Amino acid sequence: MHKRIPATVGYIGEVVPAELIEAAGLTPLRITGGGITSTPLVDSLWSPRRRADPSASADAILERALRGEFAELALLVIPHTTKAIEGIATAIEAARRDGVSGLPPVHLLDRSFLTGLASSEYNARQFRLLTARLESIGEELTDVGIGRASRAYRDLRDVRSDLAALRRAPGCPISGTEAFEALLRTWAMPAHKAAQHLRQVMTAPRPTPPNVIRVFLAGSRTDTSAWHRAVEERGGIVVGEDDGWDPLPEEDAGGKPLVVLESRWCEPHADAVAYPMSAHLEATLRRISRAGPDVVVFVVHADDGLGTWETPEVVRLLDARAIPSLHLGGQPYVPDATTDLSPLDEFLSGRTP
Amino acid sequence: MSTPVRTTAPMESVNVIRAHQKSLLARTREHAALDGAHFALTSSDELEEILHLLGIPSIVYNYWNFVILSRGKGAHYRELLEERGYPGPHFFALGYASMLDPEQAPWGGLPEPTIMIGSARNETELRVTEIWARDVGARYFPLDFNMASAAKQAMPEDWFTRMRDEWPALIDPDRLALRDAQNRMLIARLEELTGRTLSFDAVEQMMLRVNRQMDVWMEANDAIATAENCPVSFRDQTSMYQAMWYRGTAFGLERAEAYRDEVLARIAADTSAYSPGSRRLLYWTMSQEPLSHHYLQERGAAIVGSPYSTGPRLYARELHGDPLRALAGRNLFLFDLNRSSHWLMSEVERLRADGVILVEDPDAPPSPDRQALEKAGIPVLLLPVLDDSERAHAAIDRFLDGR
Repeated sequence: MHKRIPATVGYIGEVVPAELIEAAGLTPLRITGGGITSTPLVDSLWSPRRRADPSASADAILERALRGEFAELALLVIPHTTKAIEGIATAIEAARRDGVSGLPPVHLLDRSFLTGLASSEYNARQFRLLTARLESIGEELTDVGIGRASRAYRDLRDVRSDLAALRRAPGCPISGTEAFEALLRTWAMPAHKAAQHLRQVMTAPRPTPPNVIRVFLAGSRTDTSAWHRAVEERGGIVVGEDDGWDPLPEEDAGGKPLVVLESRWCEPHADAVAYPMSAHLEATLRRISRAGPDVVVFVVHADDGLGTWETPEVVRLLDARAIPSLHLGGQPYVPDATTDLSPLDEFLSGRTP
Repeated sequence: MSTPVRTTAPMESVNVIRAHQKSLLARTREHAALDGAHFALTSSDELEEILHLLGIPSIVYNYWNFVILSRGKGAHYRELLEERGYPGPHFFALGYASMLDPEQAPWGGLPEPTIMIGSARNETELRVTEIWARDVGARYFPLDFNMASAAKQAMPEDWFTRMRDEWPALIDPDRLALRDAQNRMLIARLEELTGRTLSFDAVEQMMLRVNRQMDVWMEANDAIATAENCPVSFRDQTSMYQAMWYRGTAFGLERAEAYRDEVLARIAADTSAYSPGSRRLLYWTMSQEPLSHHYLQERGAAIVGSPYSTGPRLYARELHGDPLRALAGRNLFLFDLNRSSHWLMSEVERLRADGVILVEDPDAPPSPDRQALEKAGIPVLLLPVLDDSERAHAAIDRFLDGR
């Protein structure tokens, strides 16, 4: 029987083990909202009033799906990292039942937000369901294939760490906007090409930027450079953001690569809702500390329940460490001409590096 | 045929609930002051049954948030949360704020909980309850929840009639097993805390009594649906919902029976809570009573139902030999969270509604509910809940006059 090998599997977020997709002989493509803020198809098909957790950044991805932009995907893997992201899966299935065409097949990669044996076992089972689904459309997952893909992604993480180090180096040789846009471009590439691209970006000649205020950008996760740009147009330079790209701990070389990936999936992840909150707060503080900023700016989207309640906690911890911070709550996914950026102006103006 | 008797008097059976709830906090504070006593705050629809069986008084925090709003304290507590660095939205944290400034809290305020049962239903609920528990030193027990636990498969159109018996087939089995395990672990922790043991028989009897209570309650609601004139005011219909916090208790069943009996008595006496012959409207939102309700009544319209008055049906579950698993099933699947309007259309028919009030922006794209109603030729009134202005009255006029 002839088995069709689809080319590309889309996925949302850092938490999805893209290594598995590559190891199954498929091309991973990280999906973003692309900064879309006008979502007429979402609005007409899915009234916000009927949705439990609307989110502008999730709506942007959903709008692209409804436009048919992901029609060619062999599969779209949607992780249950937040309720809004999970809602994309529910919405796509509802739209499919309504007869909307051009929608990709969806796999909801569910996870428990809690800790404990039952949660771990549940997450492990969901991981295994994903491996089975990928094998059903790609190749059989083998230790050799997973090991090869894992090494490629470990290399990519190392390069990202190098880029992060370059950004926070004295004199900030590369702007946050440029670095973040380079990272966004890599989301559409296989791991080895992504690493290659970032190496090129790092070695490209560029003028030394003026002495500016080092800003760490935290708050809601984003997939556009719009807020980086807003900060850097006001005299700051973004030396790091609160993302899930931390270097991975050394893994047991003797361990089966699939087991390593499964264990990682079962642990609380910085890019997924997790209990207790302290895990998130500690990770954020660790990243801030590593980046060594002069100030921290929290941009929390209006629909981000997690950011709304976690940010004041981090702000209090920063206050105790005498690190100045600004909490911009209720913000849009992408700032536009109507966005009041005067608090950001006031916060950055008059500060010296 | 006799002339219907109009009454604006609140129902006695509902007044008992109101009085019970008003004195609830005083009683709970008294209990909580006892040495070693426990008091729990919990999400609605979760484990109130278990807490009752273990003798742990509890209050549903979502309910408490609504009480704060209805007592006009929302603005004060929103301001307090702003001052603490929380930019909002604040609704879910009003109860938390009331503990930061208990002087302003309704009915003397909540006692400090020793147990907080949170939910991962959404990020805000998880985080607010976690912060709340930490700040008052309560033991915190979050429970997992997943919107897609039911929706990993397409729900049948008549899910609301099938869920009572067929719930095991309508829920993702992995999620059901996870929640069942989490509930059992929580029960074990509560048993340790209280020194009590929960018997299988007691849980089974409690769950069967939940079914009985909901059946009786629906007898009342079905009688309202078929009565020529609506015998119960919308305010009473909604206040009756407070009996839901006593699901499966003797008190809860008694309240349902008293309510049903009084509804049937009113119908037998041809008593109407609205002007006889009023247009029958379904208020399809879980929001509070609309401020323009008085104008609707003046114009000869009656609210004959809402999701609250049809809700009891959704809580009944056949146990299939395992009451705790049935409870976990209900925890995960109480509503179809997809876009289906079949439940609404079924209620329109059951209540013999002449029209439906929806709370949505007339300038926004129409919701699936609105589209379904309009397609079926059922008149729709778009009414802001908090608007009692001439503009709202004009919208009501246009709707009732068929313009």
